[in-house]
Amino acid sequence: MRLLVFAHRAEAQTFLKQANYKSLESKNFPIYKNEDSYLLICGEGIFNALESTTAALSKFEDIRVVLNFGIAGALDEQSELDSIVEIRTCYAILNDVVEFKSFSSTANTKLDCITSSSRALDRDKAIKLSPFANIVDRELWAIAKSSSNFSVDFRSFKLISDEPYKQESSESICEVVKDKAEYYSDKLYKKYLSLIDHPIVETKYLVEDYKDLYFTISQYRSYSTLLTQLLTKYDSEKSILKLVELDKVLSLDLLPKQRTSVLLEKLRELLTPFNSKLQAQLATVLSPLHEARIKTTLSKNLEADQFKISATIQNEVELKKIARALTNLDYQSYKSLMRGNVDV
Amino acid sequence: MFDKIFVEKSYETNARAISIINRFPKAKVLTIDKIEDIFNRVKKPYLQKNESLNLFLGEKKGQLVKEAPDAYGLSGEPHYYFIHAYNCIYECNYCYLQGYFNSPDIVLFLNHRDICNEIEKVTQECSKKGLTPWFHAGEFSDSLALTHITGELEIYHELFSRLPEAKLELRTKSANIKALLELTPKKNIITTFSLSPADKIKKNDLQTPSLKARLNAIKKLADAGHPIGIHFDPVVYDEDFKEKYTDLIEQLFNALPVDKLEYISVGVVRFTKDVFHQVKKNYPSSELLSSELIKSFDGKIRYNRPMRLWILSTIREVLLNANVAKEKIYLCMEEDDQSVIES
Repeated sequence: MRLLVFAHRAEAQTFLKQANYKSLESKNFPIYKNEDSYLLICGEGIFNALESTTAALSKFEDIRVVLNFGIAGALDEQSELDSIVEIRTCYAILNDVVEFKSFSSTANTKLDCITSSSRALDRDKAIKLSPFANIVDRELWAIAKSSSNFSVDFRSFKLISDEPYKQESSESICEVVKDKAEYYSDKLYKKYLSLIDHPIVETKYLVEDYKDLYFTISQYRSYSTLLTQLLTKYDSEKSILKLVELDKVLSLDLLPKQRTSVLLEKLRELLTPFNSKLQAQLATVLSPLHEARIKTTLSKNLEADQFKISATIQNEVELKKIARALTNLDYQSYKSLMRGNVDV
Repeated sequence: MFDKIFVEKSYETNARAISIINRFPKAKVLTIDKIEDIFNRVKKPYLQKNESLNLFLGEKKGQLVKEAPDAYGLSGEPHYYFIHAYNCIYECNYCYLQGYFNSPDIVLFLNHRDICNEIEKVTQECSKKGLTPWFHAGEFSDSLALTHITGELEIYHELFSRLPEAKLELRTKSANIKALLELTPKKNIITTFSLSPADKIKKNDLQTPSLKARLNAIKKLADAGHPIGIHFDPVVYDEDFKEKYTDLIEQLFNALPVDKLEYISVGVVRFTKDVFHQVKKNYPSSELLSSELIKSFDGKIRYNRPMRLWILSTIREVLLNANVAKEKIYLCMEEDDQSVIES
């Protein structure tokens, strides 16, 4: 579900009329719902927006994205009057003090917005804010902060209703904005429709088509992580599966889940070629211990020479076997490997 | 290049500031009281440097020359860096600057005379102790990338001409040597180039000159008699790593006679936790993230010890085979690794 956030009902009027929203019971703020979204009227200002967006996100756990629509003022000539722009990063200024924290949306635009705790209606105020952003509003930063707290993506679309950087006085702006509220809401609604016309395509891995493999949830997560990392080196999932010889894995006489384990191991080896070779060489050097059933635990991330051993001794024969294995360990070879003398 | 130029009030009529501003006629110029009123006040995402970069011009206050961290340069002598700029026009995806400042905007400090006075003072103190101080430009920026615009090189050249007992390192990834070529080569002014194999430069040193361009710059400077140093840093492993570095070293010594090399330092890729977090955020599909990195003994993210020691010794071996004198090779490593190698 989406959460659409507006500061004022007037900005949302076309949405409420056209999109079949039904009012939900709420003590503190008006919120509506239709088949694919919630619509929140958050009220004007940073604190109202923070409080109501947070309340909505706490109450409705099915919200996946927050979309903010509203009017805003231009602080420079980068945005045209009456145009709708998508915001890249939002900043805030509270009582003339700039907030350090900023929030970025996924928008691929160049326009930033500063949310001001007081109205910015004239040139003097615009000059103070323009070093930080191109657009000024009253709520976005709070909506973005709340979204960030809930790890939900946000996007913001601002209709430029006024240009305070050109205004000598602030007297007439509010009246003009009120008169055009219905027109602004219509424009914002059309923008919204253009956004939801493009449904999101879900990705699926090629490997899911193979019946000879079975992925447990944790194996599936590992596959996804490994593949994401490998795709920074290789072109496609197909080329990676070819490199690890998936055909051979599929023909192994194992259970589907075990074949998946083999596949994951091969992917790990492909991802960490140096360490795979290092581990193999360490295993060879330490093999006398392993053959005597001595368990070895190397230092974390191989950052130190030391390693721990443990074994169970039930009789004298086992004791002698362990003693022999320890005597046969080529410690210098082990130390040399740990110091980078690796055959790569 | 710059959307806006913010200039401190006290530098509005400064000739150098005016000259820099005039190079960017399309930028909007705004006067401010102090750089710190705007720069670093809010968290500006790093990658916005590609879309909307601003420039700040003003005065560096506070400490102008600082002691360099351990393992910074050739050992045995005191190392310092001076700060005449913040941030860089290049975009290396491993760069620590992405986790250092809260903004990618470029800051150029124009009080070079104050910085020079401080360098002179430090040099005198070191001389009294019989030490040769090294001064590094470019701890927070590239030393040469903007010198054709900023024009400060001649000031430092004049200073170090008067201070033969001190050394200046100009560290760069650029091929912008025009300003430097106009100056007389000095034994104590060493230009050092950071190099990587060509494919690594393409993948990781974004927006920087190619390997070919850097090697051409090295050749021109060396031919003119300027001392040259080299940094192989950061070294990033891949399966044909040894072949790539063998090839790089061959290309390097085609451009620069091996006996003209002042020194070469080798450092394996490493990140602080914060920088690594920024790399993941800014470059999620970077090959750096898929490599075999671990959280190391000091909390830094790097290759495990056997791997980094193998990388360093492999490059050292290739350099020795290329007839680089042993004492000119400097391996950048933490004390812990150094003690392991020596034991």
